[in-house]
Amino acid sequence: MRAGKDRLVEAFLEEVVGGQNPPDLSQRVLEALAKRSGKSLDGNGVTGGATPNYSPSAGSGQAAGGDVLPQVNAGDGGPSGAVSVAARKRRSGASGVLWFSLSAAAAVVMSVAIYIVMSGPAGPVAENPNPAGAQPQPNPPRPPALADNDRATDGSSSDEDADNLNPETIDLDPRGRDPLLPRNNGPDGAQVAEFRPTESSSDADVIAFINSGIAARWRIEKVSASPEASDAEWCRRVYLDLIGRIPTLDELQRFITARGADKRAALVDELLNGEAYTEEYARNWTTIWTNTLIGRSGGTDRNSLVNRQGMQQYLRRSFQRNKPYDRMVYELVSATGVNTPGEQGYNGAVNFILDNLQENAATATAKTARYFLGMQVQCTQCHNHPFNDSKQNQFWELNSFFRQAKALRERSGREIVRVELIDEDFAGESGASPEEAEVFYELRNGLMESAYPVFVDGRRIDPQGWVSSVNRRQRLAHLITTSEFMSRAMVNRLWAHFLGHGFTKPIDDMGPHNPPSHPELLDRLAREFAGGGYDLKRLMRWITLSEPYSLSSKHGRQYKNEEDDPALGTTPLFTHFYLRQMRAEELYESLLVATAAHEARGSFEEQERLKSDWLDQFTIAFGTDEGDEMTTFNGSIPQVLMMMNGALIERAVDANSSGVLQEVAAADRPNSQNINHLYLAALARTPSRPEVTMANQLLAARGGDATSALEDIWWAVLNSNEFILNH
Amino acid sequence: MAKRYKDMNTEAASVGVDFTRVIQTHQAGVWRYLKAIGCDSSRADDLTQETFLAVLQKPFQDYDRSATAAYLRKVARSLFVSQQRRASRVVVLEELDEVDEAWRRWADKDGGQGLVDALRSCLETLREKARTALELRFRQRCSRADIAAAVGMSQDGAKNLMQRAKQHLRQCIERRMT
Repeated sequence: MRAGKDRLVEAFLEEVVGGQNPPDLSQRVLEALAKRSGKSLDGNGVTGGATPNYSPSAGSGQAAGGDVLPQVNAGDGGPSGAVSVAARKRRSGASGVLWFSLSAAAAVVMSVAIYIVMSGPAGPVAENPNPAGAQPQPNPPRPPALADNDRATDGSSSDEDADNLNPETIDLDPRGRDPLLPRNNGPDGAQVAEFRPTESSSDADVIAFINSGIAARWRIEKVSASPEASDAEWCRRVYLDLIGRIPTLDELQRFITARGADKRAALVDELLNGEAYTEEYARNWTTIWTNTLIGRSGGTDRNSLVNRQGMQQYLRRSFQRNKPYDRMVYELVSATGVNTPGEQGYNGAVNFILDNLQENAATATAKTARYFLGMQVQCTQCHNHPFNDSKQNQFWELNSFFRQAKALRERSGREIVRVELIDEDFAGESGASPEEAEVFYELRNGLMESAYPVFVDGRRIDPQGWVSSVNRRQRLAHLITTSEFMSRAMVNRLWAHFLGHGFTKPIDDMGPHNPPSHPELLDRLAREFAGGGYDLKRLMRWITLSEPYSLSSKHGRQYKNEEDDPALGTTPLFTHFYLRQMRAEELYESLLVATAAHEARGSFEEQERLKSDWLDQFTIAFGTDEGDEMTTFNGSIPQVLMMMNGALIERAVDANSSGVLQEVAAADRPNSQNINHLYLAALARTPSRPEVTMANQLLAARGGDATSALEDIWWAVLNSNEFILNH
Repeated sequence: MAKRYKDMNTEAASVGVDFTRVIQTHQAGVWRYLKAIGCDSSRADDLTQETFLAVLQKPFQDYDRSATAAYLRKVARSLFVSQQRRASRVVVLEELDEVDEAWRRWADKDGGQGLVDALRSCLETLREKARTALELRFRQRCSRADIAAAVGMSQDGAKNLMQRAKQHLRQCIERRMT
């Protein structure tokens, strides 16, 4: 802001002191305008229906949008007093099309033109055979047609209402009727139904439906399922997927030796609801969602608006209480408050929006659509989507919901110490009036259009920007949580988490352009999830107790499912459990199990700090406007070196340190049993015959020093591919 | 209201618009804005012209001064950014955002005329030496060495003098504009 003012002072000094006054360009502009249009204005530069040579009423669309499109993209943007050859060519669009149609390159040119038409109303005019179809809307921008009764039915909220909506202070049920929301008008004023399914079947019914839905597809595709995974394999994967670490040897043996047909269900219930695992469950899902919402690097920069601890604390409490998913989304989208724990007015949920407010909240728009609606709209920020029906205006209409949000920073020196997210009255980008608070966006031809808040399904709200009348983010949160997109997106995301692949690829790009592999199953699960109160644990239970989750990861010709390999691009049929590498955080937590460090942990913050330090070596933030980042945790040299020589591994393979190895080495058992224990602890299986032979050779090479041999074996097992795979 | 919006979007949206008046009302604001975001005078001339051409060749309605001014600035900014990018020059959008924000506070209502007046009167409050330095810098286009020699200071001293003078002007304008 200060820098902006300095630039204004500098520029105005050139005028006031330097005498560089604004010129009168009116005559020059009018002449250029007449020259470009090939028509003339009246003597006063006034357009009018009676003016014979310039009649916008009769041909303004054609004249303005067709053969004399604005020259923003014309040539190289030079002064328009002299019209370029390219511009003259553009004006002869009709003859140009004819010429192109006769030329040998017509097909190529038409392909380009079709692409331009598909991707937006803008683009080089000479290449557009249908200028009328690509004509931008009249300017200056205006709000979309709004029925009078929209205002009439619009309730108004008081400041007290707004305060009461603080998610940390009240038990708001976003599924209830929102008194603030005006009639849910879609395009043309048609009512758009909210997604409020009421069906809620028993867990057994839903699981049976999953099994039958998946099996039906096997029959159609003429493939078979792999055999069921062993108890040990299944136990290892369910620990990894639900609480983010491998089971300890005790936990594994307890499960293997347990009896009863429902022991798997009992273990899932124990991990989801057992007191002993509440913290670990919450920690695991906090990690997953923190990484999703703000990335691995979010909040680690000094000048970041995000407080990572605040985000984690909010999520941890949400998962501890098994907060309904719709309420979580409502809170994340509409949150206001301070980002830092311990501060007055603290609300950790604000950190998601705070991380994405840059560039007029374009990132918040894209991420909200992606994470909560399963839609990738980021590319429509600049143009219509080339491959699906998403239009540029839809991005900015969604973006309009975020424009009341404002981050208030508090600094200590150069460091940001506290940020508060508030909603304030938005007067539109023109600043004209909050009554019709518009957002401008740029078409590809450089012209500007306007947008007002409209949800992705066409439901629109009152365009005014007064927070007391229309809190746009609260309205958006309501619209999201009453749309079917949210439920489907979450089902797809969780399915991919547990099964390795979602119903669509990628999981957050759903829509008619990307049909799901199992549409009926996705629909039913989405309805059941919503009808059951968006209970995340229940959804997890359905998936983990389903047949596809229980299958072995072995597949091939002998099981008649060798073709089911999504890694090669085929549609996933879930005939076997798809192998996948542990996330970096899962490996870290699993190594803690191997060193028994998980039994003597510090506070959550301390654990997270240690984990964050460890993960830093693998995280690379790209610094793009979409907050992209990646990890080198994909078999890279740093990862291999860490596994071979890292401090955690060194500790794990030291028989004098506490951990699995120490327990095994100290036990009074034959070496063969000790080796079995190590394999079970790391890989959830006993060693094969060749592995036993190798171990015996190692023992012999160590001259009978069993402890050293066990250390070597343990090191080799932890460094095997099998250890870092969820299988 | 629905009727009003319908009327706004009729095809003959430009009918009856006095282009000359629109240009004369807004050209100074657009030109000043372009200067503020980094154009020199001749480029500001060209882009001001381009801005009006881009806007007026489309169906257009001049509903109120503020909306039209904001719209023109947006188009001007787009043209500036596009031109910079075509010339492979870096555009720091955050800096432009800051100028936009400052413009909204100081110059939105009248295209910067109030700011010109405020700056004029604030210049009167500067010390003689500082005013001389600014005149040499902005009117005579003197180098820093020449300015330093003229005011009897080192080059660093002259630089500091002008920086402080501009800071004083900013604060003075802030007081007058609020």
